[in-house]
Amino acid sequence: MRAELGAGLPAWVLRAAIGVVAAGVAWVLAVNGVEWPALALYGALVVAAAAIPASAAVALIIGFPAAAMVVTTDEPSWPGVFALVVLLHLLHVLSAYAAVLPGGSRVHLDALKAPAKRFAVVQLSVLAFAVVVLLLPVGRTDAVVEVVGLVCAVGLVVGAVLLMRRKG
Amino acid sequence: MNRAERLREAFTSGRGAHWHPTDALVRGLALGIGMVVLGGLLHEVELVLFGAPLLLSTLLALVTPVVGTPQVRVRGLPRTGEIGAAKSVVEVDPGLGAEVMAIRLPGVGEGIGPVHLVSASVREIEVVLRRDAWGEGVDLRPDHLVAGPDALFVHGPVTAAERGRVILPPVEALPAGLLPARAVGLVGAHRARRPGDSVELRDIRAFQPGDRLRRIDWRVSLRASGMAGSAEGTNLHVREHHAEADADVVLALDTRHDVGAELGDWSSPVRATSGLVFGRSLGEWSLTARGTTVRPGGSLDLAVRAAASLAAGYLRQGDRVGLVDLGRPQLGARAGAGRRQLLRLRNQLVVCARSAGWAQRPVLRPEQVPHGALVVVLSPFLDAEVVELAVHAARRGNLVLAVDVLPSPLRADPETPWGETALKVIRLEHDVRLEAMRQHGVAVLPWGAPIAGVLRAARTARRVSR
Repeated sequence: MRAELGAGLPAWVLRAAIGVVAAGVAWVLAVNGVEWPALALYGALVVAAAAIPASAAVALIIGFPAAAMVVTTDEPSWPGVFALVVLLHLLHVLSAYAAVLPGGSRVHLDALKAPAKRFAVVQLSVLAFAVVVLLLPVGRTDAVVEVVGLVCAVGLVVGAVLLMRRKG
Repeated sequence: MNRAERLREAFTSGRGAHWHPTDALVRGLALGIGMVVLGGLLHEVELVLFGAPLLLSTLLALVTPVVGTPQVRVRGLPRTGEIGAAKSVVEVDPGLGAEVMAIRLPGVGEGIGPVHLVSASVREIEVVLRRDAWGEGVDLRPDHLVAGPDALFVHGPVTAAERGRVILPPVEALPAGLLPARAVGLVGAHRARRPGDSVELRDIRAFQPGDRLRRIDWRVSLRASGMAGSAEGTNLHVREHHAEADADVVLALDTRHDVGAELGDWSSPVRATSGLVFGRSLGEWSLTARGTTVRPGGSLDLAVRAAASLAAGYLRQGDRVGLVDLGRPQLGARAGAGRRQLLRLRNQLVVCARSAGWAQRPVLRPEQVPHGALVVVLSPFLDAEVVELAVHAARRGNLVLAVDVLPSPLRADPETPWGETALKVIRLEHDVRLEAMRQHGVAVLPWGAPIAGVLRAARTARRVSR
């Protein structure tokens, strides 16, 4: 395929998008009762992550809201949870692409079509799983299921490590 | 692996021209697995849902094969070019599994351009290269980084080889009357002083052994015989014609100086250290002291443009044009004619400008100037040596045209109280040098003034002085 190089968008659009998405996350947290000092700390982390997308601050701005939602609320607010599922994943993807682009780069939107499709597929799968979880009856989990869950968790870790070693 | 290589490896963390995971992969795995496992252990389904997309996208990236070595090639980039825009094609083979590619390509402005994030499905990218200044330069350096799904695995960044072009000095259309149409016997005129076979009559003389019979002028011979009272062949006369010869033009380029209109920029290192305006040596005025290339709009830029335009004009008339670098005599080009000679001269002008500014004294050897050639000295005339050189060339019998390429008007250095005074001294010295050349029969004119009249006046003055 042959293409002519257009002007494209400036790369700071990706970093600005990180800020906008993080603002949405902060709004969800505020609605769910997270106190303003925590939100101020979150804002500082967002600034650091937008400035240096390849830093560990990105991990913090993804992990912090998840922990805050679990800690601050006894009963999950499902709309907020669904919003965070989308927004936190978006933060992860945007930061990954912003991290490989130097300042002053140009982003051509055609390049982001394939990642957008995969993002949609992953989100639909997870939201479908969430709907199934919502429809399941709430009650005590059997010990067998607990053990199977633990084995699955260990298997997940081992599998990921093996895949990493094979690729690395 | 020596210590330096180990240090480099430690600093770059194994980045470079091979596929390697990014921080985003570690983040996706750690957060994804951590939140899913922790959510399962703590019976917090929200945590599982938060971690699931990260884990899923990371696992997708891990199972997608990303192999092969991305290749980037530049096609259709000529070695030389003209000022303006040109097109080239960058061929890309990103390898299997690549999804996006960050590649440095020229954008809207000049230079090697910014990094562009493009889809890895593109195999050929058409780029527009723009250069607004003549000389050597880098047009393309396709540094690239190829990324797999979600940029969790990348190949690179790879610093590519620089690809450049030589932009030839532009040929400006000279205004009508700038070139002498027929400077008789000297330039562009195809009549030489020696006898030859043209149709233009040179002389009628007595027959000599070796003369061709068809050159005998019977009318003159009979009249001469009648006056002498003899019909014998002793009073035979022949018609002698002028020879037709190619005229030679030598463009003598003074590459020792490159000065602009701002006097303050002429030798700023000296001013910064000593604060002196006077007492600069030629080396301090030269380019080597600054370590820069040709100054846009400066005297060397003007001289090169003038040389290219003059060469084009004379070659169009059918004359033979050569080039002499007064700073580096070995960089000249021998006289020749035709379109290829114009290309050769424009290339050589770039070469001369690249290595400008190292010589203290100008050099123009007699053997570099063909007999009877027009010598065009292109210089800002900032020292007496180049004036002596022009006068010596005139004394050897050549018609010399001194083209003054000193930027005008000059502006004084506003940062020193001696600025205006220095400007006056420089102007006066410059005027004295130009007047001295005029008095020695050298035609002097600033670049852009009509040449023909000045050359004619100089030729007349030389005949009178003889």
